[in-house]
Amino acid sequence: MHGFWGRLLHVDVTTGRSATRDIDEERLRKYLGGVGLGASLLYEYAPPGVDPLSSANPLVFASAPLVGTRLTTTAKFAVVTKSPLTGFIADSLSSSHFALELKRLGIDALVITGRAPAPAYLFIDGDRVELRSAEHLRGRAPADAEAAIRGELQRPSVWTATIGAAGENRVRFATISNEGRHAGRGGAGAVMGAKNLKAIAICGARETTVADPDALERMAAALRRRSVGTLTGKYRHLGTVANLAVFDRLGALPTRNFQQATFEAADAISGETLTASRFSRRHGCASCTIQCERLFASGNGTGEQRLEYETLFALGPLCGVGDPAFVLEAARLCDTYGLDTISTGGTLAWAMESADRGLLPDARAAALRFGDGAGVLAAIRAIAMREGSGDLLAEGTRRAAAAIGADSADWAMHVKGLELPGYEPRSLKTMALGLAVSPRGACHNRSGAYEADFSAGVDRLRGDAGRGGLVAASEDFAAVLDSLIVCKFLRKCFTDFYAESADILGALTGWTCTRDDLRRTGERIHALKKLFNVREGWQPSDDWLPPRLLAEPLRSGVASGTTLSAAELGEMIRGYYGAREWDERGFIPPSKIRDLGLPDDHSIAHTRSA
Amino acid sequence: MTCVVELFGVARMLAGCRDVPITVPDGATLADVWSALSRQVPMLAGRVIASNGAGLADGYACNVNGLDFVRNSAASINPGDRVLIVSADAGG
Repeated sequence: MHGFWGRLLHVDVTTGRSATRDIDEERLRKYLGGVGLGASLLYEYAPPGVDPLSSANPLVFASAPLVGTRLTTTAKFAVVTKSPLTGFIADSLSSSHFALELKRLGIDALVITGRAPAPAYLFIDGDRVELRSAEHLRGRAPADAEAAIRGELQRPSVWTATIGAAGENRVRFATISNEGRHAGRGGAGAVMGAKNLKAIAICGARETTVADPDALERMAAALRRRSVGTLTGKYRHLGTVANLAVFDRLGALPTRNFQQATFEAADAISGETLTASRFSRRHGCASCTIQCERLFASGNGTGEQRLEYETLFALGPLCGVGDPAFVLEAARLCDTYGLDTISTGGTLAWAMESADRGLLPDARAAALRFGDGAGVLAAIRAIAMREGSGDLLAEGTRRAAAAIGADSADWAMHVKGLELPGYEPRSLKTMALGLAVSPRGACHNRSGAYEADFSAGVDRLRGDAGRGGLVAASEDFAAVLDSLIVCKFLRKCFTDFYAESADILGALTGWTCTRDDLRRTGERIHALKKLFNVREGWQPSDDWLPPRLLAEPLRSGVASGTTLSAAELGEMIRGYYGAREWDERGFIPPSKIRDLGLPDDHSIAHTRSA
Repeated sequence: MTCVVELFGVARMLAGCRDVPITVPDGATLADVWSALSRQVPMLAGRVIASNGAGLADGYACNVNGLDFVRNSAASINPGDRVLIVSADAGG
């Protein structure tokens, strides 16, 4: 087989035993790699109804066919598990050298189950699998642990994926980090922490083969050329922080827990301002020509900190913080403890509003106020260490609101338990639908539904049933990107994505693959994620938005006064289910399951939909 | 008549300013705005404004008054309009 290994490694960290297993070609054709393969393995390995923080919940690291080729932006891997935050699928991507090394192990996926009897890290050196003590690494930041492991193994070619204190303490939105990047959303770090696993260190030496190297190189060269043109100019010159000023101008920048859609201090923390005043250097993943990462002089001026739009929005405007020094320091702390910055900011913003209303009993949390940068820094540490009210906030907004009660769920800004990213749904109606129906919860990465709102011919302030087809197409597109894997920042560089990707996959694997085959693959992968959620208890009420968004008009910006009604959202959701050919309540009909070749568990879907 | 072009991201960095007032004849279109902008801020020509001056370069999008995204350079503009040039790639 070209492009794949056709096997996985399963490690039970309770016993330290490991075994390899073949993955048949049919499965790889159906789900590719990355998120698709990861979802397929999650479906198989997770016992139905499994507690996400139990030893039985599998933690899947999935490689992908394009990893290790000369195609730009493909050094990526997926982490897939059942989310402790949502109770549904969590599929996160990270990238760079760890991704390359994972493929070099000679496997397409690593599946971890069990719970180590004591803090440990997993060392996989080619075919050798070893569980080593991590007692000395307890509480250490991912970057520190990474350096320590590399030092003690005396192997410069070892790459690691590591959790911080937040993961060890099972904060439900803890991340898994590698080389300063993160598998961020959904709390995979807590799952790893619950396995008593501080890190995974890997070192491989194998290379997959390519069916038609010349053809693949021609296509790779063309993409490399396009990747350094104006199509990626935003990422190369400013990075994603460029979004902030635009979103503010368009009335789409969630501010103070979605109470406003513009931020009065947007100019002070915009990407343009940060670049002019604090830019330190540009960086990027291995095997990437775009190099989108922007590092800025940190808050105290002694170091540098990576910053992305979502982090900037969540720790800045969402919490009312307009001082870049505080935002950068908050970002650094999240990296240090291994926290998802979106969920951290979302949970803090919920806490600030709750404190405003006198609902938080703990004195320190009760003092939290919008705009209080120092308070944010203290609260981040409290969350990571589960100290005081941090223990409550470490559960995320949905559980925290349920614990506090008193209508606080009305301003708990999450979908399925996952906190909202930095896109205001009331002024981006297609995105509103995308957020409501995403299997991962409120997510901006498993679809790019906002792209429709930012394009000509779509009224972003008014929703209709036609948005359903746009969101479904965007989700399928993302599913293929996330399974091949190609970075989304390259997506505009394709003229005909499905056709070009089918050619690339054909040149790599030798398979005959058409544009329509690949489009179908995207639909199948997305449907599998939904099917997993249905098996884990998804109900139609889970595809909905927080009450605030349906009850309050926008109060600032060019779209001030705009509302999103329940009827409008309902119409879009019905349009979406129709576009998907699911039933009117959002369950996948048995005929569709069969048609897509999904696991034949239709009795579950059918029973629940009856 | 006069309109104002607001620049974001790379366009702002290249021009070194946030906005550019543009004077064009009554009944002007976006294409007229792009021509005038290329003359006033030559740094944008060929980089943000397409080389032929008729539209925006790949990777850029136009929004009018913060509300409507407009692709057609033949679209007319009104006095006082604010014409935004933003990245066509909205996500991240």
